[in-house]
Amino acid sequence: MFTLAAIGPALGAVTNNHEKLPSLILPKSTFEAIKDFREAEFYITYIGYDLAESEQTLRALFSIENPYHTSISITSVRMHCYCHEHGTYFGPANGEDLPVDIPAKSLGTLSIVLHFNEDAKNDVLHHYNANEALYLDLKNLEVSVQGVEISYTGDVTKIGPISLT
Amino acid sequence: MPHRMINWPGLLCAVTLSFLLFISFAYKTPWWHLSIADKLGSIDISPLDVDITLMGEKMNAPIFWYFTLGSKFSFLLLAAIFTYYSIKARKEYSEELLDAVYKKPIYMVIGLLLLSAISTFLFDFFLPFNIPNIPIVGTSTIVISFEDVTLSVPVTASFTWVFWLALLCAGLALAARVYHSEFIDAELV
Repeated sequence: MFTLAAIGPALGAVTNNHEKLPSLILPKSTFEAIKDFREAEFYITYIGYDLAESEQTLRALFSIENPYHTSISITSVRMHCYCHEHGTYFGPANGEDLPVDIPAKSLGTLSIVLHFNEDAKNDVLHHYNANEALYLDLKNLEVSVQGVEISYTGDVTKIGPISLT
Repeated sequence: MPHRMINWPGLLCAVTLSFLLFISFAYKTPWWHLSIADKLGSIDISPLDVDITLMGEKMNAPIFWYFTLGSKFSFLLLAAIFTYYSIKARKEYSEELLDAVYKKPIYMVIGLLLLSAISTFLFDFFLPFNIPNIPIVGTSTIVISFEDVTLSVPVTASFTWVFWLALLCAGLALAARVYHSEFIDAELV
């Protein structure tokens, strides 16, 4: 009696769906969701900057596309910035106005703030003319997204152009 | 007139079973819960419901629904039989009835433990990379590395208060058997 009660519904389902058994275990909607999750890519695009000369601060803006069906929250961003052309270490940069919440399947904007160190100021003063643009390389990226710590040891190169006029 | 003898542990077990069934229908309360990071994913398991979510997407297989429906029928039957047995404990068929049901709550608890272990395997299957050391209980940080990227993902798993209630129910079912042997059988003799 208990065996019948326990497995009866499942047996009935298997009997009625014997021609499409895989859909009982992995329905098309779940299969598509897994496929979307596996193939999802974050698109991060540099969109602009704000250079505050008086504070010797650079604010770089990035657009981030959330490919998932749930909102994500970026809670921490840290990296080290270098001059793309000369390799000079410009200092650490951090995310601003965090957390940044990006709704599902939407775009969000992330602002990164860099306070120029002395080497950065010297590099810009001595190696760049007013009509030249600066490009940055970002290294040792560490990002926290909803409790997940993401560490990227590769380089993100040639972020710019950043006009020095 | 012979007085009615009630198997009190059995009756308590029946009440607990009914309560477990009610909260499953009303609130879908899991017996075991696993969460990934801060609401990135979760697995909620009980013999009466299975719910797997990843990045806002439900990853449930229809076959789970049918098995848990079978579980619900079993719970209903179990609660009904325990209730009937407990208030008619002196009937000549009562002991047979008790023997048919008293182990079932224990099997459900064991089934839940197995289901929790299987769920961690299934969760690993759904993701595009291997995840070692998904805990059954406790917190662990799963580190996944590929190319230049390293992910550290905190995972927390625990049994909920409902699981401990189910364990109590299993204990009451065993106690009902002992009670029957010690008091009801003895009185009948």
